[in-house]
Amino acid sequence: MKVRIEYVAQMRNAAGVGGECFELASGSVVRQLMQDVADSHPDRLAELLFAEDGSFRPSALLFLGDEQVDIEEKRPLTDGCTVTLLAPLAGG
Amino acid sequence: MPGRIALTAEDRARYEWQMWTEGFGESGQEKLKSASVLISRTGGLGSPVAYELAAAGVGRIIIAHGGDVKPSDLNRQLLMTTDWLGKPRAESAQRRLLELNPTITVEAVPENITENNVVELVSQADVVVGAAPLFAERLLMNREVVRQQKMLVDAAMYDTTATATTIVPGKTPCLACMYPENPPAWKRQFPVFGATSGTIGCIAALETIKIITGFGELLHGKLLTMDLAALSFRTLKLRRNPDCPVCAHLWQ
Repeated sequence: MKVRIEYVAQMRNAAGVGGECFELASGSVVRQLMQDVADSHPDRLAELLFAEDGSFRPSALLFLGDEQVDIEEKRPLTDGCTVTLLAPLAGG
Repeated sequence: MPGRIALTAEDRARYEWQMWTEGFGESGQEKLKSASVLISRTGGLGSPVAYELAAAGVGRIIIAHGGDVKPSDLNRQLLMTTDWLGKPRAESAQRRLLELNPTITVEAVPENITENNVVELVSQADVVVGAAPLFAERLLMNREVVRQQKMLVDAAMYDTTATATTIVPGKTPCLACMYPENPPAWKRQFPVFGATSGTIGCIAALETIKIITGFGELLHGKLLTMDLAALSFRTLKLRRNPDCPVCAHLWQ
């Protein structure tokens, strides 16, 4: 199945693109998508997603459709769905 | 929210056009006149928040902003002026706000929000607007707002992206629900056009007016995100952290 990911603000800068599609096995969940994203962008973006100990950073905000989800979200992703990845902003 | 202070003839003349807004009216104007709003920093974002709230007639505006005006402030911090270079930012902001609207009270605190002043400053406000460029300040403000159970409008930007949400302790996720740690991606210096911070600043100002006066829809539990380069606007639903170290106790 194909899942679209949108990168916002610093996530977009780190990915070098505003969005892209990933091909995932049916039944995949958000954590698998994030691992694929990190593998695909092993430098700056991977550092924003995963800490050195391999844990997912709580400051990487995930949205499935328009709803925020946790990295441990159990609902499987569906073909054609969109996941948005956002780093919090503090500029004034 | 505070009560209402009756309007004078001068008030009616000044605010006539906004009192025509559906659901606002003279009663909304009286509520604004009675309200106190604390704005954490009047930089690129906080300046238009303060300016719009002063124009709209919020009775008491407290601005907390340390340091002196620098040349690099002037592309976006609209309450700072070239003739005030090297002088305190808080004084520049106060002067500009009172030039616009001398009928309100503006208190200039020449300090940023710290552990030493946050309790006192939040206690003086009905609504707080967070516009600081550091997460430590935003999280500190969030913690105190939750403790005193005040409402917080948190608005922020980076490059051409901006976000805003409204926090009601115990009823919406708080900032620590969203990000319990300082995000490693954040750098103290960031790309910014004044028009970007001004756009989200005006939204934060209107959100504050709506909170005080009770009209319209609010960003409760929602994160407005705007990509102004792409002209894309979304409203995302935020998730409460049931283990939030700051606000979880209010949900029991």
